[in-house]
Amino acid sequence: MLVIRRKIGQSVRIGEDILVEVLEATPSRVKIGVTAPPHVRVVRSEVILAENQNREAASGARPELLASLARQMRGQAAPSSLNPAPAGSGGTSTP
Amino acid sequence: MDGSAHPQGAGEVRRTSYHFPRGIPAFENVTRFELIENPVYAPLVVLEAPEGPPLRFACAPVELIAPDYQLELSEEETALLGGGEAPLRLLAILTFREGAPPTANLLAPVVLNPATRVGVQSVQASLRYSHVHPVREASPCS
Repeated sequence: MLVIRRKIGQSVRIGEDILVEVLEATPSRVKIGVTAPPHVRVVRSEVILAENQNREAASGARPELLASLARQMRGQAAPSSLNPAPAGSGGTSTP
Repeated sequence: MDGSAHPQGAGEVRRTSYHFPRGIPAFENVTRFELIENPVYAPLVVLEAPEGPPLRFACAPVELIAPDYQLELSEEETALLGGGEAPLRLLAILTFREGAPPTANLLAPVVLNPATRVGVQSVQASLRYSHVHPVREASPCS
């Protein structure tokens, strides 16, 4: 990782088109401004985590898994574990 | 909440439509979700997109997983959610994986305002919360 010390108002250029500027700095937080071409996506790292997690979560919300976890959360533990069964092992379309 | 209710089994399934102005991460074009509250799955709920390709998320109330959860909303998110007297609902999207306990995404809770019927998925900046927070330990036998 390249480490560069910068002060408020100073900037770093990445390639020809991307400019990263330090706008504000406090002991716990730094505010930066990023200038980049439209085709360059600029997001917080956490957003990528959320995107990946949403994609994964959307594919596994099977009714039997919900019912099993719901029973456990209600204090009526299901006899089997919460480990999902292999995909394609059944399930209904009940939301 | 004035969502529609459909009899099913021992209880009623309640569906309430929410508008997500920004969509949610990875599904920015999906701006409408139904909150489905089925007694069979209580206290869990389901968020389902009523239009487009099938898209459905199992969710748990955040307070059941992290009772001391501290939500930080941006000014934009606060404006989108709007006001009203009803308390905001916080939901954690659940992920089920083969051979592993389910996890809850506490990094990016879904925030619903029942008063305005608006929702956002608020990606927290704090590293305090995990996107794969274990919900329950799996039992050793399967």
